[in-house]
Amino acid sequence: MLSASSSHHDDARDAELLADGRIERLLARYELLIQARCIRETKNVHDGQDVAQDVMFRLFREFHAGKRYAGIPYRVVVHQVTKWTLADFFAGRRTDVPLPDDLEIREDDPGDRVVSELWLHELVAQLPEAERAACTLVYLEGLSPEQAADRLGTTRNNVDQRLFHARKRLRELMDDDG
Amino acid sequence: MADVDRLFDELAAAYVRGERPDLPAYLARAGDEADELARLVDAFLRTVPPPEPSEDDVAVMRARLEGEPGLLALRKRRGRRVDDVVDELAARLEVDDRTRLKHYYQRLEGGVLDPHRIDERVWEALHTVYETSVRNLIRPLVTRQGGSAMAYYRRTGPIGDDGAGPAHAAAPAEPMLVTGGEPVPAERDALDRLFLGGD
Repeated sequence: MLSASSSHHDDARDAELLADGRIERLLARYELLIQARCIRETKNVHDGQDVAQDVMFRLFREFHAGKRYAGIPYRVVVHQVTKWTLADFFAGRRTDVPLPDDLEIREDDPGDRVVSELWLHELVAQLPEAERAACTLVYLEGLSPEQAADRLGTTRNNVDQRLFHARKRLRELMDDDG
Repeated sequence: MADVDRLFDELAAAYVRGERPDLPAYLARAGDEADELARLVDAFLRTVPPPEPSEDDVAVMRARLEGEPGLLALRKRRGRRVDDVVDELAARLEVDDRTRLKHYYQRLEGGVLDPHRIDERVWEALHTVYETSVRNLIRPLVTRQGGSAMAYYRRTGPIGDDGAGPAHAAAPAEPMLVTGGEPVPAERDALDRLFLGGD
């Protein structure tokens, strides 16, 4: 199973960037994730982009306030700050101001289960062999479905069918996560 | 297979390859299924480790934190002249009035046009010109008062609860975002509508 090593590798990379003060690289790593989350929750591209911008600003401010979140993976920090900012947005509060200093980020928030534990590697590892191969090529290596079909010696249609179950599982994860 | 699934596969593969997929463009292509695509993409991005950003991405992010519009930073980093970019845009958008196009492009690049009003064709053309999505790069990361995030930390005090910097801080010298501040012509032609929106 790839999950543990892969997860730890990325968390270690984030921790290294944070320790080195390379906040711009960290923010660049997570920008699309933040944007996707905000657009999904606000159900509006413009609102989502605006809130995402404020999440980035808040993360930057947290960094410069000296917060390093000992032992908590940075992806959880990103997730939590995004969640708080979205809550402010839906409550009609300003989102372009820093977070209160007394907010504490904890890794054991039940709502963080998806980002904390379920990496795509794990999801893919649970699939039957044929589906796992197609998913690995497309979702983990970045091949197009056509390229994956060539690599696997099958048709595009067949690859589409194999990817179907991975997408279904992703949808289920989101249903579980609310 | 539903279109949303094809769009998702395309975006996911591009992301894993380290590209910068233009999420709003994908959502526009999904039409009525945009919410479903957003949900799927969100799930995917939360479960796959983020790829290492390119050096361009990092440099542009640094510039945005400094209060510089990202598109301007990207063009400078690529060593492109404004006139060259405008020439390419004019060809791709089939615009004859190059002078006005340059005026609009420079305002867009300078972060003084509302990015929400920009026509999709402009984003697509810019994507082709720069070989990456630039939609998210338009705005510097600024406070409500228009100061860059980084500028406040070069001074002595922290950002206050209202997002403002220290009272004694000098006004930021960076370009300021003026959302929707562009004077709107009474009669808009096709070129105006590309950059200002409207019917």
